[in-house]
Amino acid sequence: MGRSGKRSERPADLISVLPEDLLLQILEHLGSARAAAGTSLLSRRWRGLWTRLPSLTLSLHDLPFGSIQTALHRAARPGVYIYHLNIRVAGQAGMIGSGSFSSLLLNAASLSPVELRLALPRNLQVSCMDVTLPSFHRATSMDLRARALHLTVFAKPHAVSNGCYVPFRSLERLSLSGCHIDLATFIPFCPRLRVLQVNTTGLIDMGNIAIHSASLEELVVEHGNRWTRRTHVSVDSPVLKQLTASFHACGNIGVSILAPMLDKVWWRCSYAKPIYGLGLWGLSEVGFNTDAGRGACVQLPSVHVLSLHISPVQDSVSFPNADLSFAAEIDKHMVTNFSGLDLHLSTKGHMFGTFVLHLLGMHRIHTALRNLKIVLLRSEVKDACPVNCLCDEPKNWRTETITLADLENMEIEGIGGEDHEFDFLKVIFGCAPVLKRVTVKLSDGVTPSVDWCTKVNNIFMAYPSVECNADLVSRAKAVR
Amino acid sequence: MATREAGKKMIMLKSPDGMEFEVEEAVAMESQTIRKMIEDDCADTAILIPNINSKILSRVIEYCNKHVPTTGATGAAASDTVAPAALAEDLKIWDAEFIKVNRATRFDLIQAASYLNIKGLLDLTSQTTIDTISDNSLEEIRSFLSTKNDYLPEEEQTIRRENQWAFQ
Repeated sequence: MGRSGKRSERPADLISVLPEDLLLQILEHLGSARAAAGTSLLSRRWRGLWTRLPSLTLSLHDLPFGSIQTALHRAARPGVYIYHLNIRVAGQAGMIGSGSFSSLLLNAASLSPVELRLALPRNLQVSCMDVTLPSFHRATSMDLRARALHLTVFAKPHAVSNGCYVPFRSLERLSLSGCHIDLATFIPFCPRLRVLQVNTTGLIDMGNIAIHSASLEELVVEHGNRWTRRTHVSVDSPVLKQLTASFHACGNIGVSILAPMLDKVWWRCSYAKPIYGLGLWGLSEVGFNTDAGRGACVQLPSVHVLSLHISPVQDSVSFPNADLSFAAEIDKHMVTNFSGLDLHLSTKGHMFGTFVLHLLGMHRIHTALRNLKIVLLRSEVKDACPVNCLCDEPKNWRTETITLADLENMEIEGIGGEDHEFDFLKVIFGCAPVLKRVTVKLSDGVTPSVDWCTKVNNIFMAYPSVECNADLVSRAKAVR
Repeated sequence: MATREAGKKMIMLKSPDGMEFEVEEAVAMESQTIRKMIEDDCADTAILIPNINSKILSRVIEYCNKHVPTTGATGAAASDTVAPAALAEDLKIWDAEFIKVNRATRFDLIQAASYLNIKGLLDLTSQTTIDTISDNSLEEIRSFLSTKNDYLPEEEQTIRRENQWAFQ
């Protein structure tokens, strides 16, 4: 009483001028719960006012784990409506018990945020016991980042089928990084999921990525484990339009993509060491992309391109059942129809004719191929191909015929002006009846012999229906 | 052009102190509250705006007048020469000038904007208030809000402890 008894000339207090709901509306403009909570210190009347805010962002950035618990606990009062809940635990090396992490999740869930972001620092690990992910029924977006966090979803038996238990019923965007979770169990709890990002880099038991969703439109999978012996990616999503995936393969890979609406693909699989190959050529990367150059300005159906990175293996290992398993391995990555093939060959001085024709003869390639691009990568050091090297065996590839019925465009980069390259060109001309355009680009600094240029020009002239672009002009009066 | 002038429907707004303001319907409809009255046909002659005196009401109308062409559905006035970005920039400058009022007037404007449901004006007035609050010490905020610290020292300690995360 003593202090308030003093008469004041000052104008009326804001809080007595404005009704509470209007005051809360103003406080909302503070944009963060932290700032709003700070107003508690103003006076008794302000104490706890912020907890009645209709919607706000609660950002707890770089706070130690213990303080976050307290802050969440304070905020969790009846009627508090947190819109964005943003938690970033401060870097602290160590281990936290799964029990205390579970209760942090429960506290977060009791605020029923619309958007949740939770990031644990890299050096803080939750003990490897399972942590149950509580229901975030109002969340439309969730982003969880941790390091080897074992998450389970509380699954009530028989409850999913009758639709009464849907703990993530509003969820549209989900991003999981460093979380062990059984996606096959989790995803059915998210009937509105549209965008899913999964990063399993560093996780041991996430070799099996099974995503079956009726609503998913965009999927991003990052699987950067070099040691996983078996990796299985299975996607069954009738409305999936965009797929981005990158993974390292070290052993067996299983791929099954069922996505009839798939329109944009970016797929990359790198092999830690050559497990599959043919002769002395080993597979180091398989890619599958939507051709960005096409359909960007015009609304054309998407064109997909298969890309293979191939290099000679160090010691001539023999690949077991090479023929079959090499084709089967490449087949796995053809996630949808394609019409282009980009071949990146590190030649190291070897002749590539036998191998490339074998590749082009593979069933799914020679039936689909419209555009072929071969990039020959030469190493700085002049590699010598030993006499009687395997690369030219069997030699009869020069007279081989395969049918490339739809091949229209061919581009070869990095030509060195060698005879076997000319032989290869000649074979392709003979195999592709509807060939329209051929582009030949010489490797930098290479000056082929006049004899070689003449041979190339002659073959160009022998096929007048084919538009030929060769940068031999200055060297041998090439035709255009 | 003549039809545009002739086509304008006018609305009469009355403040409780007896002043009358004739404004274009489009301007009045910047207020969602008035829009609803018009749409529900409750506005045949004049609309009495309770609790908002003529001084504040005239300022609110000034705000709506300035903001009507960009938010209006037709956009006829805006389409002439000025680019939308330049127009928005111009409005921002105008808003900043408009809100340079004393504290009491600003609180009156907040209440008026709230009652009349004019989102742009409510955002402007709230944000200006918040801008004055944030980045200031507690004492400065108290003085600005005319709030007296009625905590006992030990109480203040408790509050600090309770909300420690907010002050870290």
